[in-house]
Amino acid sequence: MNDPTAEPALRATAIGQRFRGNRALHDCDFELPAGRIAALVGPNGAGKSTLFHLMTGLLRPTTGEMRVFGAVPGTRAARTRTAFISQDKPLYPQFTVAEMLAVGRRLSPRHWDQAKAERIVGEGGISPKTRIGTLSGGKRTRVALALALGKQADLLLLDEPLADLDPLVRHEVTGLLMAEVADRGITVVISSHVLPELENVCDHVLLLQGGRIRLAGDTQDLREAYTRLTGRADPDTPDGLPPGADRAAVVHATTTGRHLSALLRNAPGTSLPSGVDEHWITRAPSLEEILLAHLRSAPRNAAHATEAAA
Amino acid sequence: MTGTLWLAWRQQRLLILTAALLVTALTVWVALGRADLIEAISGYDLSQCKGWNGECPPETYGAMTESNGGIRLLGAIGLALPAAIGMFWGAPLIGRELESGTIKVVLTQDSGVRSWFAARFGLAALCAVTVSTAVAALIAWWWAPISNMYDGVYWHDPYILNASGPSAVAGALFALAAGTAIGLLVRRTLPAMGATLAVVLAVAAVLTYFRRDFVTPVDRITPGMQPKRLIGSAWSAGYRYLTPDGAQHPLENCLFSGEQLRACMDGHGFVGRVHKVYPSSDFWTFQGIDTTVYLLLALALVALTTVRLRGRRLG
Repeated sequence: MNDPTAEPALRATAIGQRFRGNRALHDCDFELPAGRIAALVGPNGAGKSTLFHLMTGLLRPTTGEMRVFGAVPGTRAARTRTAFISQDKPLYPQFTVAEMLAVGRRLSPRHWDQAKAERIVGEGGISPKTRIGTLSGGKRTRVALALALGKQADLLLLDEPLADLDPLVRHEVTGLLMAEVADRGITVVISSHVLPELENVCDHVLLLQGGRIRLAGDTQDLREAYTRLTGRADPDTPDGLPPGADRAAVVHATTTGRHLSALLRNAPGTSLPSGVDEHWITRAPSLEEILLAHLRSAPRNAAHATEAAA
Repeated sequence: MTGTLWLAWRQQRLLILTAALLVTALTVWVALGRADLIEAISGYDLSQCKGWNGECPPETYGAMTESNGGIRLLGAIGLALPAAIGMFWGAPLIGRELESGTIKVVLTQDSGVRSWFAARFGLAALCAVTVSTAVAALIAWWWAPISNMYDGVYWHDPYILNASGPSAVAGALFALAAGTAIGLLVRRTLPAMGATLAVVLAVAAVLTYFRRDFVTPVDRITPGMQPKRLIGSAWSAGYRYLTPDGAQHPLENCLFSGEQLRACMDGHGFVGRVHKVYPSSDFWTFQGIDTTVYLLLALALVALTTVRLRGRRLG
């Protein structure tokens, strides 16, 4: 899957985006290899939707460049390989479901799979003759998904597709996506401000905060690059950490009473941070713990350096 | 292109149907009204009633005057047509797509923004031209048998000068282009509709008030106290007094008639009177000005729209 000569599905180089003088994104650099399912995670207002609009070519970056399989987003070469569902899942309320699918069939005829689109809609118990405007939120998401999956794109961009869906529909939608991934080996970027709904699904993560990429990489590599430390706080150090621990490797540490809990970066080539001995309870952190530690350690100023995964 | 054209048709078919119904209803109305008019004026010699100051016999006048109301109402509809096209066809053309976010669905399909815009604007423009041509022609057709008749509808009335002829069609195109561009810039349908109405009315008003500045009226000179030549079908642009050196002086110098006027003219050394008029042939000059201005503006607005669409901020 990881052929080094293959074009990455996405490559962002020094992306910066300004809206009327406000910086929405800055110095965003990342690469997403083809075939990955990437979670784009970040708090509300972090710039996730802006990043999606740059990936689809609906927006052009103020500085830097974005590439989709090597092509400029918005060009024909990139458009035919990309499918996008934006956060508001816009559809034409006056159209019937069949007409909405016809938009995909007629405007994206190149790889359109009508049978698949109809099946996705049909499995949700939606009649093709129903007006979009009368559908519930969950069913509307299903139609939007049918429109995106019917296009048979190589890169699927989903901006908070699961927000405001009930757990049952959420499960259904995730199932549809996973079936598509298993079937066609496509690349997916799926954003959320809640990680747990993505943790079991994704194998790559992009953490966006305050318009910057804080963390990017393979989830397994990330988990192996950090250690979670818990135990009694060391009474001899002001921060409660072991005296010998490399303070530069600390991502985030908190003490509650005498209890310390911290996330540290491992020393290169080892599975433990330097200066931490076996008196401490250590374990590989969950992805959520890594992301939360990074979010909590957020510097208030924007001059924080981007951390790349090992 | 066929896909985007289908989408344009699917989204505009209600407007197209409405426009078709409107044109059909107007055609029936005008056909009946004009038939009544032809019947009413048959047997009368209308040549006596041509122009203002005509020696129009009361019976002839009565026969043709009944249609004036209808022609004026139709003209008013023609006057409102560009604004309506700009508001209801132009402003939502891109504005509603931006407002609802559906532009994000459409512009991430295989077909690009150029084909999408060309199809929907092309279809809208075709309809705007068809509808405005039909209405302008209906106005001209009903008005023709009693054009420029005594106390009737004259060529320089806005009902005719603004609402018929090629300038009416150009005005509709301009309004459509203005609505489309404003919708793209404002990104909300309702405010875009309001702004479009304001812009279309403002341009029409500016043209109406300033187009005469670009056309020199004809001077009709009557020496001394001779009776002035009747205005006929011409459009008066005011009176002046003439001195022997050929200079013209404002009317306010002698606001008298009869013996008082003679004394006043002698006192100022005026040797004749000048009536500045636009002859009815100037209809085409004014139409030419309006048409040129509207078409240039429409072209500029379409260019602005395509440039803005390409340098996009559509998300």
